[in-house]
Amino acid sequence: MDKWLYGSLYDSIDKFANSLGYENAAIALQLALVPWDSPEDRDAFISSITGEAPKGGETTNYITGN
Amino acid sequence: MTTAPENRGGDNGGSQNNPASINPLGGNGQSGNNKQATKYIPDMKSLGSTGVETMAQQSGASLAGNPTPSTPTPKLSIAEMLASSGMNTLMSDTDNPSEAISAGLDSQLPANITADTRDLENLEVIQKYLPAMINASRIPGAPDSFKQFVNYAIGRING
Repeated sequence: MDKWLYGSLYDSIDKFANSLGYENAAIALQLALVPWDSPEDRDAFISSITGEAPKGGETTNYITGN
Repeated sequence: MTTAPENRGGDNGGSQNNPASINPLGGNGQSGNNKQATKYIPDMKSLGSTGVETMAQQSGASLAGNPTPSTPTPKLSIAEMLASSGMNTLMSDTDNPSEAISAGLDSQLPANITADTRDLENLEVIQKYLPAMINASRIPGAPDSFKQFVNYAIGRING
């Protein structure tokens, strides 16, 4: 991978680790491995369990891959 | 002998055939007020009323089926629904702090396992994925939050 992709595994690790907290790193990594249908589905799941918007990298950092 | 064409009965081309004269909301056609016209109903005495009283009653209230446009319910996100319903999320504080973490298990936890094994699990999983995460943190455009997490993971492994 030569550029950071929105919705990639590492993007999911970033989102889950920062949303659930580093103290839940194990579960964050396991959830990042789930084959999410879309980044939006993943973010909706994060919001549903944390009650907050997903935390993590800024969208401006992403190259969407389109 | 010729017979004139039959012209009794059948459609007389009345106003009921004109779609413009029909109220789309139902009700009483051209009246447009969504209410059925009051009608005098004879022989109501046996039911304890008179035709005139029944007629007055009809003009008092709208029909039960009076159509009213429904207001669409605003669409909420899952998080908003949880917040508005007052439901706890996974990250909320427990409602029952005195309950043992092993509650609901078939048997008690073995003596050599502490109740909270998160640290051990974290270490195990971080060890497994750290090399790949370090490589990923070097990808152009990797967000700072990801790099911070990788730094945290390196710190955990180095003790």
